[in-house]
Amino acid sequence: MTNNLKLKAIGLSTVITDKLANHSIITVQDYLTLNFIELQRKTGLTYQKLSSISEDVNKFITPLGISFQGGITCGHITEFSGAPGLGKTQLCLQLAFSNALHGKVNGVLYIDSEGAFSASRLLDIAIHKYGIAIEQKIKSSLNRIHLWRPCSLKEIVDKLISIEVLVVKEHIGLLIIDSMGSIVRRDFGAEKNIERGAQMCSLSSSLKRIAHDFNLAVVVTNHVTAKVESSSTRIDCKSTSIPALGPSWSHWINSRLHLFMAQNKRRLMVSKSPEIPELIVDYCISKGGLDIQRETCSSSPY
Amino acid sequence: MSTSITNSRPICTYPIPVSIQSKLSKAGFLTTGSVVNLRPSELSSSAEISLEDAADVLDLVRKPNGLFLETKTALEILREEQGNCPIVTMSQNIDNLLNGGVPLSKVTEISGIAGVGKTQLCLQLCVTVQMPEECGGLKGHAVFIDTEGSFNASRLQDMSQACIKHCRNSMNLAAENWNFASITENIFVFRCKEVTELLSCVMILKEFLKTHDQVKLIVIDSLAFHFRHDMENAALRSRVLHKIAAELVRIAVELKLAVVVTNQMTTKFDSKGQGHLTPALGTSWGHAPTFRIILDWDPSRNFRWATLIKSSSLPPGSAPYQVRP
Repeated sequence: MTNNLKLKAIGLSTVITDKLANHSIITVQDYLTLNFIELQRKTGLTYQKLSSISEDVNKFITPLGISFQGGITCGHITEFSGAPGLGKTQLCLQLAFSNALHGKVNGVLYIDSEGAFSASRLLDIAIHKYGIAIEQKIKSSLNRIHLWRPCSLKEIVDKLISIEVLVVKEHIGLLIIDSMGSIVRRDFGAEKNIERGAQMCSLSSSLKRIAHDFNLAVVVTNHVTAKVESSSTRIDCKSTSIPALGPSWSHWINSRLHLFMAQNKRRLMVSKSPEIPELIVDYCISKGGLDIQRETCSSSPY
Repeated sequence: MSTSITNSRPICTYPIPVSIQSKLSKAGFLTTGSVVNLRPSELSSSAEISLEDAADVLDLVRKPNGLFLETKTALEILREEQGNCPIVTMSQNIDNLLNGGVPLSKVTEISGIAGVGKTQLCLQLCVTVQMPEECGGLKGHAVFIDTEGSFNASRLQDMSQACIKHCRNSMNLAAENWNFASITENIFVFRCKEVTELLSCVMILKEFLKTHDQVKLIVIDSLAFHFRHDMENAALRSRVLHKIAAELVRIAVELKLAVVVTNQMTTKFDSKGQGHLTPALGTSWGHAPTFRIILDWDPSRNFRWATLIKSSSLPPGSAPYQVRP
């Protein structure tokens, strides 16, 4: 079990492992579950020293951290794509509350570009999914969720340093962008062009860096667009929904969870993930948010 | 963009603790300009201060120069939302479906086939938004952007009279100042005959709203009309739609008013070749409104109902309603 792997076994120098052991950081799990701020506070090591130690640790094993049924990994960008009305915002709100309540690093930065953020829905989720009746607990969790409404993609790119400052000050462990589709298409429209690709690339690499440096989870929602499959007869033309923002964007995210409707049932498909095999689950949306029901056995999504 | 004056403002003028100040000056950071564009990790390693201290320093230095995120916590937003009063539609079933009525700060889309009553509902909302607060209204004004020429003043008169009567009966309101004349005065109608007029109208709304800050409702009836007839080029169409959608969302959220947009229906063919009706303007437009309602009716049984197909905070459902004078 990699969790219990001792840091000594990885090959770090005894000086470092002794220093960490003095603060009860003995196994890999102990090390990886703390973020840099806490590590600095505990051990007094400088940031650079810690990054090189983390690099060694991470190179030895692949960092895990599946904290949600489905795979929201820290240090990665996970995307939820799907047609409107299927529950992407619900999933984001649920994740936000869950992290603010339970997360080891429990600040949440919610970047909302569609105006769909609803604090009353968060309250519903708190009461119905987590059964919290204590007002103080709800209030303190809500206080850890920070909402920012940028006007454009450029504003996000320009204010990346401010985002980092906020991540440090408010101990942000989860960054949600709802939705990437509308923010990019607002400035650039739905057709691809070079500048749009360049800005998306720059944003995704900055997000990955922040995700990696601060070990936070980045969740992004995306729209879908219709892809018409051409055929010889026009009657046979099939149009399917595919995630928007183009195939190159698909490369810049690490995992993708696709929400869709099949035979009047809502389904969630893990269509790209470095850790989890492809699986399809049914879900429904209740007062408490998204409830994942069962795995479907079919190999094809439809 | 910081000017050269603020860039050369010395670090010691900020309320940074002395121990950190000395570390910063030892590392050579003496002016604002030298730190303002550094990331917390960079400042932390260069000045040998902790990450948290570096973030504090950057926060203090960047805030006066406008380089910060204007965030709100979810708790603050909850308080705002609980204080927001939705606009009633005068149909209890639809109001229940929407948990009170058409919400403020959100974009709501109403779709339906021709003749189902979308314009009626929009006119109704223009009246109910003006109801005095004692009756559960917002005492707000309305903007009606008409693209089809469907704005009907005589129907408005019928509705206003019914509404005034309802208020007077239920609340014993004297309300000499709330009559048909005042209602019409507070509805601003813009007639857009082409796509370019619609686009420019939406873009100047913000300016207009600065001088008319009592407006609480903006109606566009209908958004689909010009796009389906005038614009052949799909790429241009989607770009313009996104621009309008972004502007509407921004106005709704910043000025805390309700935006209602009506849409037409189109036929979508699924894999089996069967067609069913869905709201027009495509899936990419479908992402923009937060609430989507479809109005439907069965003329043979004279039965009408409204279905909520998308919302960020309410369960989906259907509600029957009636069209009355």
